[in-house]
Amino acid sequence: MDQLLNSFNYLFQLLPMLLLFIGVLLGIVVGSIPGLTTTMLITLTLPLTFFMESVNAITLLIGMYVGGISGSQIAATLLRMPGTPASIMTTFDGYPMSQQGKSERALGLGITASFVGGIVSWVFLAALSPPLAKLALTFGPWEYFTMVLMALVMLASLSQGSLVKGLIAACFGMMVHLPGVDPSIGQMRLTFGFESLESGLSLMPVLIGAFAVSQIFKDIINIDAKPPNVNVGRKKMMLSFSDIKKYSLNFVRSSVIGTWVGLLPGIGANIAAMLSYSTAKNSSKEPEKFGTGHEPGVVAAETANNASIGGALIPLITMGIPGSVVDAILIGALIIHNLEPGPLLFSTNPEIAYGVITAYLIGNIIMFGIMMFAVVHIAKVLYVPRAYLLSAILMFCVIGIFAVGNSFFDVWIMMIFGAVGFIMERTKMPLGPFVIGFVLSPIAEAQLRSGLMSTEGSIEPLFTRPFAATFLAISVISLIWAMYSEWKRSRELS
Amino acid sequence: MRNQVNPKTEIILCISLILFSILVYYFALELPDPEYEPLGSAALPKALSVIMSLLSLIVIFRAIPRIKTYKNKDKINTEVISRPKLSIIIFIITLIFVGILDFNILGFLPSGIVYMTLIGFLMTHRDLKKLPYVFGFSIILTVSSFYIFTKFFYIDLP
Repeated sequence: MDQLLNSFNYLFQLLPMLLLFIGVLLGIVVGSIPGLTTTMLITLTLPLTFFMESVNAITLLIGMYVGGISGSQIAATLLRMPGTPASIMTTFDGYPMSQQGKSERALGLGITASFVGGIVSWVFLAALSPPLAKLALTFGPWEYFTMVLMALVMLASLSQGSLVKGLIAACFGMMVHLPGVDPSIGQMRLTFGFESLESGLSLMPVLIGAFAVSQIFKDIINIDAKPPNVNVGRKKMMLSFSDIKKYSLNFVRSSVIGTWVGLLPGIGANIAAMLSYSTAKNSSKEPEKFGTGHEPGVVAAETANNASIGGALIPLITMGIPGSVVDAILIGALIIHNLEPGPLLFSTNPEIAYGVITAYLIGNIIMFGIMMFAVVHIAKVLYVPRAYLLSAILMFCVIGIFAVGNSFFDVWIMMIFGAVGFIMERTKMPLGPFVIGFVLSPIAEAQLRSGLMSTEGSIEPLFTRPFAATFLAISVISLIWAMYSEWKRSRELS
Repeated sequence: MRNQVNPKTEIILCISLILFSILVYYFALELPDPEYEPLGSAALPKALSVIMSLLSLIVIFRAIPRIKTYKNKDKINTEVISRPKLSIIIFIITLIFVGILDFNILGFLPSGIVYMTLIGFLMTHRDLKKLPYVFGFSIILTVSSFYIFTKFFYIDLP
């Protein structure tokens, strides 16, 4: 409790608060522009955080995460173009409401829902994280190995597109991390004769290439697409007490769904919103109204997608396991700042672990304030000429990556992975499993090998240790379920 | 929705992945046998190469029957891909820009201004009326980022 209060005290100082505010604002602005994603913003900001204190860097990134997911509802509601995949479900009812002249009401509902979702999931984050971190301290290499395996399998199985492509992406991500020093015994491997590969491929160029550069080239293809003009006023945005009361059950249910879906490794905000939306629809007395501009649809989708952030942060700070792609990048950020993500974070760097928790709460409050009072102006960002925006981002990618390592080798790597990411997107090969495979493969390999060393080559603990066996069982069930669903879908199509 | 991807592209990608896996496997063979623990440095590269090759083969076998049926869909969907050439051209220009900086042919300020102006001009549909704005924007952005990086972050740009 003391640590939490200390963290609040720190956050209420000028610099951290300013950084959090900037993070949330940038997140909302970038999230609101279709084509620019929260992942892109966070990866692009990582090089700049090198010059900051670790707590401040994480505070800024958490602000961007919260702002990005919330900001994506603006374009989803006004233009039927979700700023990020998290707001796909918001388009179903938010856009029809906007078409009926109720843009302000739709945005007001969405903003309040995002806020409530964020606050409820914060309660779970604050309450569950410390005991979970204590539990995770009892985990050994087998538990960690199976947990990483579970995250990879779940992300590959639940990614859009086929399971096989998801698994290819995960394997490819793991392979990309192979060059350099073997994490277990220090043996140099797979450098292909390049001296620069001896230290392996750095996280930043791969991430920025795969997410930011590939996205820019994808956006250039559709540069002619212009958003239609929409008018948004500020009136009718704030919900009344009776509105809150009316949707209280939906708020609570969607928050809980969002948090728990976010908690599962590899499942993002879009799945949380989808599940919450379908639950709201199935439990409604008027399910036929969903998709026609029905308010509970907006509430369910926006509450859940924001709540999933809090849920996803739980495995991140307690076990070092990412709940989503953005979380994998946040893990990368911790590693870059020489911090070890995982249960030890609470004892070795409590200011970071609790910093994440407090920044998430305050970030949500700031998000609510900015969105309620400035959404009218933020909506204008949708009309910024793409030519200027994309060329500026491309330039920042090049100099940002050069600045991190003072090396042009990294810039070439970024360009290569820009092309790789672009091709993967074009062939519907998901980038999520790729990045999680890249970030987690050294952990998985080191833990498996350390486990095998301790048992002299026996894999028996995989089945005898309760947590390891559970994680393994979940991985196998997810894989079988995904294979069955794919087979069923292909039969239906044929 | 599932089969909108050009099967030929999928096949080319998967063949490239198989070739990459073979390369990784070949280099993994050169690694020494495990000495201190059961797996050794080569186990993961070898396992991943085999798994990725097998998965890529599955995608190839699935894509082959779709080659003929895809042609019609391709014609219908051409309007979705509006300016792929522009994307490729800007990618090549960016590679040239990085090359110019890497091999010290020009400094960041002149090459950055030319690069930004060029890609901005191409992205504004080579509209000469917009060129002064694009040029102005390029100067402001390049000069300001140069000073921010060198004076504020103390990073020497080329």
